[in-house]
Amino acid sequence: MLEGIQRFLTGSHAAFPGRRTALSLATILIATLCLTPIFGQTPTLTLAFFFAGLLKRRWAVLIFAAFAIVHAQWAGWFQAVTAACVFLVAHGLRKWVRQPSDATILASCLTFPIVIVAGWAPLGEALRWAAAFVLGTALADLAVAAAARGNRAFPRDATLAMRPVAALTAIINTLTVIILDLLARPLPRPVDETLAFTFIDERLTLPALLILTLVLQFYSRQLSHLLEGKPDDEPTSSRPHVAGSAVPQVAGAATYNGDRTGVFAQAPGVPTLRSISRLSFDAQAGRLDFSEGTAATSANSLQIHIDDVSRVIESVDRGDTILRFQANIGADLEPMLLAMTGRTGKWHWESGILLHHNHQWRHSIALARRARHAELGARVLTIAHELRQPLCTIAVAAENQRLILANAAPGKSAGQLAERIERITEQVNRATTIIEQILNYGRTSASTAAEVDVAETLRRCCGFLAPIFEEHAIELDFSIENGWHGTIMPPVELEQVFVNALQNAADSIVSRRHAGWTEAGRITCSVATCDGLISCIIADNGAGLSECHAGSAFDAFFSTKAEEGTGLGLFISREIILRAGGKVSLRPSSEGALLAIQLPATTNIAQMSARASRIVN
Amino acid sequence: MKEALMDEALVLIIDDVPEIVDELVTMLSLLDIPALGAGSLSAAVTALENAPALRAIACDVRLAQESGLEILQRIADHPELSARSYHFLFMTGDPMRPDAIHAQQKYHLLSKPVQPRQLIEILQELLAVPDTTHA
Repeated sequence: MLEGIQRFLTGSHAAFPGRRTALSLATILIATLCLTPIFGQTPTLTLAFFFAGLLKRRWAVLIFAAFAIVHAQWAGWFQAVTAACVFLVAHGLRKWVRQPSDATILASCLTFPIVIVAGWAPLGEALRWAAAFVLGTALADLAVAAAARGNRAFPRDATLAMRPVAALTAIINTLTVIILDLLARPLPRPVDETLAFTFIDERLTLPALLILTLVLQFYSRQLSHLLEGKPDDEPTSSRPHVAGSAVPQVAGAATYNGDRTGVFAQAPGVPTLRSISRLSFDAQAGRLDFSEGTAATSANSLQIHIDDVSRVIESVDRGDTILRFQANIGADLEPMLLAMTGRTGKWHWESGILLHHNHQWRHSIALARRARHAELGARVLTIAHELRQPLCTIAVAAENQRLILANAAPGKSAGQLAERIERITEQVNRATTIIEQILNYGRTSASTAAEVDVAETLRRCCGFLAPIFEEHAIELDFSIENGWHGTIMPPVELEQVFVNALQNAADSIVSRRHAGWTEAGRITCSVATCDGLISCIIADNGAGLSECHAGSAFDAFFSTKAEEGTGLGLFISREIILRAGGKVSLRPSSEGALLAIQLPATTNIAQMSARASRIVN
Repeated sequence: MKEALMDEALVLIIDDVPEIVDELVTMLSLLDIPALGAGSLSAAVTALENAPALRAIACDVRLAQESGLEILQRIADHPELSARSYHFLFMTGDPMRPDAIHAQQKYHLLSKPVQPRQLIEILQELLAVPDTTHA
């Protein structure tokens, strides 16, 4: 029944107090019970409340003044000041707790020390204190909600969620106090200095005591949940959400179990908008646990991408109710939008809606592929020129073979013919290589993550663009640290990043030349590995860019090229690098511009395999 | 033999792809047309200075870091070479380039891969034109 009452009050298990709440309650109760027998005065209780928490709210001063004036007319200045102090401390504790449901519990539980105050003051007056305090609590909730509308106090959603719960609790507490007042009215009300327990034992009627006991039991059960290790402030790294259905975890891999072992988007008929419940964030593992459907059978978890973990955890800690993150689903990386409601603990929420952004993600990948095609289209003349060279050699070599056969005596032309044949074979291979490079760069099939040498890939891309560098008389300087500079990512994506960066550098140099600059163009490429990070820098002495442009360069459709470019090159490059767990930045340099890329280095097989499972395949 | 070739060479092939230069020179040699090869404009000017018999120049429009059309200006600016008369034939792997289109209006322009027999025919026509300066 009590649990039913609890659900009625809070609509869920949302009333479990957190650690701060429990600490506040314990402080208040212990201070009340321990200090009062010693000093036996009301100010002692007030003083204990003051020490129980800190109060720093601007508008609390106004409430203090209003509350004190009302109370002064009602019960006298001394009691007014005392009650106002109690209220202010209670409010300070509620602010300190920060969690709406816990704050409500705290506010409710504070009524009991007020009732205990009746041990030193006439009962009717003590009850009026309690009633006034409860009303003050409700008013405070409304004030907090009003303040939150402008996001000045609490997150809007959290505060709005708190309001109906607080109102219900206030009503229940008020009724409790009224009943107690009615039951105690026939009793004599001398000013009695006896202790609270004695007063309750001797003066309260049995029904009132029963009601008080029931209400106290209700809150004590909540405290017992806390002591049993129910959802609290601490992240739950090992606690299974549903008994008997522990979530299987694989380091760095998708952990989407149950009957939904597949990928959201790739499983036919799977909705992209899903209602989930019993949300729990594991901050250490970067994982979201939740239930779906019938709670006993569908415990699930999502592995948040490593790039988003810290941001998501900060948002959850802050109380944000809408989160965006990428999740590792199988071999894919899928963007998610999560809206949550009913906070039950620092890392726990009652329910939420999970929106799967797979379509947007696929559009992004498609965009990257189309950008590659656009770049290839822009380079078609250069590619054609490259292919014509071996074809020309082959054509002339073939004609030479014919001439040799026609002119030379039988048996004397074998050496010349063999030389021609060898040359034709070489040129055919060269043409084939060019075509393969083009196809590799422009292929639309899914790219596969693999260990790739960043330095070698950079060299290969420079070779791919060599005709452009030659055409524009651009020198290439390499400064590559000896050793292996391996990372895990789709090679074709890394090539796309480098080709885009090198092409931008070349375009910048050409642009500077168009403005009258006549110096030698130079692109400097450096690769080094340090502390588990591969640092790759591509610098040029071209036209450069302003700080303003550097800040916007990674925005979609941003371009400094008036008539060329899609404005997507750097945008896509950043997505690729972020997906691989790296960082990319662009800034002006002393001569032109400098693009800095950082990628995680693979130093051992375990790391490689763990990371390979997280990256898009 | 090299000096003899310098004296006899009638055609200069200019291309930044060594294999093309080699094959074209070989082809002309097989047809009894003495030829020299150069991979850059500077090498071409040197060859022109050292081979007074050269009368035709087959040049790629797009060299490594320069335009093949600059050979015209190089010769015009050269005190000795400017006094000689040369016939020009240009080749290009990128016929859409503006400078290639411009060259096509005044000179023979062949697209790569060149048809060897067409190239030979044009060179033979050029060499058949009476040379007034070398006379």
